[in-house]
Amino acid sequence: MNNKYLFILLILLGCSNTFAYEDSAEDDLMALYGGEEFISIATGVEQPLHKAPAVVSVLTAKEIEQIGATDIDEILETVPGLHVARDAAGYNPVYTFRGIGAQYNPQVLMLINGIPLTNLFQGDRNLVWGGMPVQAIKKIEVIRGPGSALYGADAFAGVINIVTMEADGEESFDAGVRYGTHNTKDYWVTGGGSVGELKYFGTLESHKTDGFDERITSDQQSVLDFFTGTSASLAPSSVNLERKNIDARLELAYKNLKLRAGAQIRDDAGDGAGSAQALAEDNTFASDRLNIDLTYENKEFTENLAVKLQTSYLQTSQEVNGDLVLFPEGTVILDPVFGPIGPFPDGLIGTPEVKERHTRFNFSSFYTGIDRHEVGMGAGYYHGDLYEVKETKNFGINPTTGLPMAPGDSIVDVTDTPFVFLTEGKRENSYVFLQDVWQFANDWELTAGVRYDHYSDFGDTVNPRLALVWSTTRNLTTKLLYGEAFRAPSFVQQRAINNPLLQGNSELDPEELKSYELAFDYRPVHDLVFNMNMFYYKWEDIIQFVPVGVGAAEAQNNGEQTGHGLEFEVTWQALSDLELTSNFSWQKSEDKNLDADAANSPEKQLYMAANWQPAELWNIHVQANWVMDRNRAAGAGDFRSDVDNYALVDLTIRRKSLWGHLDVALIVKNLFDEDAREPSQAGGVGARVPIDDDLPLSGQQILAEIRYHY
Amino acid sequence: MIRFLFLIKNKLLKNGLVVLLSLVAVSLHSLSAVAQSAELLILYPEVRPPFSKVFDAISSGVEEGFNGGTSSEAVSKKYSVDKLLNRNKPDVVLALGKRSLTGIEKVDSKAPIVLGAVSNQQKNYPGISMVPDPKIILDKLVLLSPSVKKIHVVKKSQGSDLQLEGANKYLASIGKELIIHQGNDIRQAASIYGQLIDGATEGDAVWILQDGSYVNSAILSLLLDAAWSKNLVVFSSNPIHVKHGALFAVYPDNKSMGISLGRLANKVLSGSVEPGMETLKDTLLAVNERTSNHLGISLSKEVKENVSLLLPAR
Repeated sequence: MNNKYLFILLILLGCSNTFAYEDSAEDDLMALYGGEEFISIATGVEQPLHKAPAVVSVLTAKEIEQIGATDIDEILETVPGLHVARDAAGYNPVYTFRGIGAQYNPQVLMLINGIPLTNLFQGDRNLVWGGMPVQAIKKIEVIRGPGSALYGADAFAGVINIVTMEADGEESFDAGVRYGTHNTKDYWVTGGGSVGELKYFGTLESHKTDGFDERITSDQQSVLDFFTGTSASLAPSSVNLERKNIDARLELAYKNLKLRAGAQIRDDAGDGAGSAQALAEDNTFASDRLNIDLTYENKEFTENLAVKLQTSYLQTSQEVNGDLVLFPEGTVILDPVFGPIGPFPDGLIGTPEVKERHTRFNFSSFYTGIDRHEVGMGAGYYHGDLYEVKETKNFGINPTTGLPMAPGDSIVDVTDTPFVFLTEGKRENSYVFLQDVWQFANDWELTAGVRYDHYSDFGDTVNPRLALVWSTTRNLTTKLLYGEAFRAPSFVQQRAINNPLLQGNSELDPEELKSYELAFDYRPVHDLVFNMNMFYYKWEDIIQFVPVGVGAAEAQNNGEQTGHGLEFEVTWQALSDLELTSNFSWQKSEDKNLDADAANSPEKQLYMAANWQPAELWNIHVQANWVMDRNRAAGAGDFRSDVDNYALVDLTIRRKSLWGHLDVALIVKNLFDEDAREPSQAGGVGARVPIDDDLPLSGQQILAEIRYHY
Repeated sequence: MIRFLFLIKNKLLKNGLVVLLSLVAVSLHSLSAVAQSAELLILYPEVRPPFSKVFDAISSGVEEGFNGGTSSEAVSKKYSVDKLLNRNKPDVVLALGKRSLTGIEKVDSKAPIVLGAVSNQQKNYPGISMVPDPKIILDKLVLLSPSVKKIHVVKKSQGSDLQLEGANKYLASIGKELIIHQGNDIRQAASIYGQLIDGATEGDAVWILQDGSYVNSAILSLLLDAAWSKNLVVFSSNPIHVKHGALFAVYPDNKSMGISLGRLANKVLSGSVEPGMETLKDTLLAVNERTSNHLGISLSKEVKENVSLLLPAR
């Protein structure tokens, strides 16, 4: 068609001028900048998204606020291909990317400002995680797929980088309170400013809740009761999810130097559905996590060279308040060799505690002095020390007598004896990486990177990545990605002792992953963005506890899984005050050892959200999230029918700038009180399933929030 | 509360500084009486973030550029501008934004008025418009794409010709040609853009003016699609167009503009300024990296030094 007629047709079809706004004090600025989004960028309120040769989602503080998220898990659940499942112990999050999930979830790397949170003990973020609040968060970057070529160990199924609010020198003050269902009480205060050239920003957050009280009808003690004729199980009863959290963060910036410190204090954290999938009364945990890092960053170190030097320290603890009751009063346990032992009048008690410290030195630099190339290189050193292992217990060998303890014996301390559950130890890692971003033709860019890691305990690993990005048309970008990744064995997999069912293995190799992705970014008109990707991965040397005799299992590189799927997202600014977003994920993963569909991860997810600003200072956000098609591992002894699908609807209504400085919000989660459940762990081949009706999620929850800002 | 304490602290510091400077001035007998006591009142519209950040940055620049004390008042429904003026009794008023202008026009201000942060031309007051100076935009074009020879622009019939005449002369002086197309309405402009695209050849450029040059989202899409396939340079005075694929745009450097407004207020107080607004010369440059890669533009050191915002490729 002749351009002239096409133009006229488009106008007659009523394509409105998107740059016209109703008369208000903001008129001139909107017309001048073309929209609020650019004003935010131009005034430094928001940063433009950086290009990335990967499949990345960026969740901003603005979106976190709109959604009414009070914990990172609520915002992470909106990312396509990522589902937050739950482990029975403490209801710890299991971030499941593209069908890759495991009980302790060590295949996901979580970073705060680029620094890993990974613990040596289980390879997770901490067994006493307790959630993470959102007031200190500027944005969360989520990479789906591997990232070991840049980030090293555990950037495996996905990477979650939490970026905290920066000390930008702007004077600010914000305080808020949120009350709601389950006796939930949140308080926070944030503030920033500058003294001369020193800029600062600090956040203090407090979270307290009794936790939801949905019930489970059977547990691991129910299984023991069935075989031993006891009736010790507390089921049916509610899960234990009370917690008290304090989170504090401080950032000081002076010229090119940045000092950050943080504390995550967890106390009275309930054990969820039990540490051993058996309900118990009054089991609570505590954890102190303290971090400090110093960064020197100069983006213009020389004319074409940017450099960054960073050192960081993280100290973590996993502690128990009082004794940890693994099985309740009156339990009779079944020893695979000696048969029934008990009853234990005070229950079976084993109280493990672990403390760790992690020190890192990193250097990275990017050189742009070669035309059409950006060359990056870096090196680093890590020292991890699981320096304290403590345990008290009322079963097993008494180190004083050298004899087995009898039911009813008092609790003994086995710390620093050969009868403790884990040996203390250190791990060192040094690495170098090299990367080149080469724009080899006008519309073509190739990123090639490789990282070499040496570990003191399991040796060397080399992980490359390749990314080809093609600006296919003005509206379409195509990416072809290949990456390899590794997951370091956790200390429990290497060093666990004295539990016949969890024997560590010092000869373990890291798990490995190879991934291929084809991704498209298509923007047919200004207000509409489509993203789609297809992926295939092969996950090898999966570490599993494999039977090695009667009643014994040892960690071995045993499993293999492949998967493929696609993720589709659309964002549509339908009207100037209405944004619609949706994403759909589909994956099919196969456990090669069982020759069956991989269990527990949703094969399909659908998310739909609408964000509406009915008036200038009002915001209404409604979202629905469907989690579908979670298989059971029949080959591993789980013959239950598949986990029920669920759909949760959440609503957040916010009114800003009431009487000048107050924001108020009403947040309703699980609006329709849907019975939603996450899969519980099976008992193993030939064993009964402990928590037969899975792990219930919270019913309807209502929260009211008032925020004061200046 | 902390913010409140900061404000008190800053006020004390500022007042302390003014007192100190005044003492020095008195002792030296070198400063005029006007300069010693000059107080500038900034009127700005009470708006929410991120809009408020624009006025914050301008105000911070004004404090730097003005030789005297400054205070700020938000123009809202709560107080009339008259009340704000009576409360502050300034020597000079800087009205930022349309709302402040409307407010001050309704009262009989004894203090002279300087105007800022409005995009339309006001002849009654001295000030700096938010409309970027065409010469600055064209300099950026020469910097990024020096080989461009022909620059097409569609202007609204009721728009001022003065700026385009200036641009025409400037381009002619550097051996380039400005081709001005006149549209009476959006339908006619659409037809012109269609013809323009059909006739344009590689290396030609299309300039979208501050008033939009009748470009709506549909026309912009077709224009940018054609530019991609024919390697045309589209540049704009509206930065959001860069996000969609225009090569570059300029937008206000609010802090620097504030400094210029402060200096203009100094001149107004000394009586050396005629009414009438200047075009904006304090600008920043936004460039679309994806488009510049497509056009084969190498972002040299000189270019990068000029770029404030490099909108990333996807």
